[in-house]
Amino acid sequence: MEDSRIISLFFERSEQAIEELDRKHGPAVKRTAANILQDRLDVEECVSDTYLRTWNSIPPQAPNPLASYVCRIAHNLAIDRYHANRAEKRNGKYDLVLDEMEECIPSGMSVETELEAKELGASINRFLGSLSREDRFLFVRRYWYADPVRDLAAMTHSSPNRISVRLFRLREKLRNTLTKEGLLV
Amino acid sequence: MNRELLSSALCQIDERYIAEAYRPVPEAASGSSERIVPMKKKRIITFALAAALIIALGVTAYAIGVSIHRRRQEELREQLQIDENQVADYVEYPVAEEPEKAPAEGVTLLSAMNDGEFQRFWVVLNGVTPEMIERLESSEQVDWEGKALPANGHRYSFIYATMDGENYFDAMNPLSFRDGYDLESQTLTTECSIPLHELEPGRKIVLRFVMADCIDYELDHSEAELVCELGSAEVERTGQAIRTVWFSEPVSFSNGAYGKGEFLGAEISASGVNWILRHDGVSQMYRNHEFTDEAQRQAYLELERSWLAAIEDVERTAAVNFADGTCREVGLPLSSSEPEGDIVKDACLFSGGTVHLDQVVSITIGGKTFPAA
Repeated sequence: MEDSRIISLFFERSEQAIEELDRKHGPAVKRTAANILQDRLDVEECVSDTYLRTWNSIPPQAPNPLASYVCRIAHNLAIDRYHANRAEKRNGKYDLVLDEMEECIPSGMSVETELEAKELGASINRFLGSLSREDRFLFVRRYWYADPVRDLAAMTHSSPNRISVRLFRLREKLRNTLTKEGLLV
Repeated sequence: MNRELLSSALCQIDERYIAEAYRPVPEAASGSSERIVPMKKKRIITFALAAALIIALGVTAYAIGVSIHRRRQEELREQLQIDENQVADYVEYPVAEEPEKAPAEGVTLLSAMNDGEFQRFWVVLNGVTPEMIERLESSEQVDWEGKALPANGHRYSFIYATMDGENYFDAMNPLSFRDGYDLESQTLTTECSIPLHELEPGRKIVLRFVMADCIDYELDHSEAELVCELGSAEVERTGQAIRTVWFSEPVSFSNGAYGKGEFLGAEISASGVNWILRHDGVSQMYRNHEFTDEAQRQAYLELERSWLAAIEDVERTAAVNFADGTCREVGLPLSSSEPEGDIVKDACLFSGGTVHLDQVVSITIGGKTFPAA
């Protein structure tokens, strides 16, 4: 079903909207959550919460594209849950993602407030705008969607080793960008 | 660094980039398959294939009443820009037109293309149950370093194609389980690429598709266990249109202390370019590897990474130029064949699908342009 039709179902307050959303974008939503959360039950709850939040936000919103809209909701909910759970245990997959970014943005930068995080986010967006589409794809899939390197290799017909090399270079490039912009000392 | 705020910064990645990366774009789906790693015992040749990602498979409205096989063929033609670029060496096989005549099990061969290094086959695997998809998907619960275990125990489930029960080729990857699966018809569409040297011209072979478990998807696939047979298809090498360009002068590059290398030429096909090059690391990179300890393995990986990066720096500058003055970037190099002497071919696909081969007039790499006579 077309996204526009699914949105219409939301506007009509038809429960079929959730079914169709799940049918079309459910796998991507589930994947987004599962890349960040380890526990299967957590993932299921995150997916359910995503649908509930989508139900509550459409209308008035009519997002286009719908897919990234619901993935972002799932992502944000999963991140919240990740941080809540993290006191108890490390999540191998998402911890690796943050470990990589921490190597790139070391202690030389102090991000201690939401405002500084926003500034860093804006800088990352400028950095992304400067990349080729292919490099941007890899960066976003790895550091936002939290896809494992092996999956990125599969998506791009590459080998994990090659993808690791490219991600390493992207992180170096980001580090240079942040230095130039004065965010890194 | 506060990790919570770091992830908060990453959360602010712009909506348009999130949407852009939602599905792999053709530019991102470049390259072919990775280097063949010879195994000591039974070997599984690991390819990173994601045909179902290149082809953004989806059931289209116009196709109601048409078999899933026919629909997939239409989608492939469109996604690969076969008609637009008059790709003569793309082969499409006859399939059932109507849903009721489509086979419920076994393998249906959709199409094939010879890219000069690999014979690419697109197939539909019929009779794939949601439970099988679930099992395959559970292999996603690992990171590439194997630090986490898959949900189904200690093994990773994949789909492979094999001709002889000794050499296996990945026919699947976790993501395409979703994009390539059609629940209604219980079919899974995927791609399998076979190195050309495995396919003698004019000789038909039976390609068996199996679901198998293995312990480690990095280097040691020697303990793979068959889960089930999915069917087979008779295949053969298809024809190929290729233009070979030998550079009038080599394009040299350096890899610091590891040595030097040079690009000697290129084989251009409708789907990509195979760079012909040699470098000082070939003999070390492509010999049989039997690591006695982790340090050796790490040293090898470092050597490999270093050469791959040096080669990529040059290949990143490449484009083919067309008669109308336009050009097309060559996707990043993602595959290397086994060497002949000190010569190796590095294969990649064009960004954004196929090109019109007859319209290519020259090729640019490393700041130099060579005519494609």
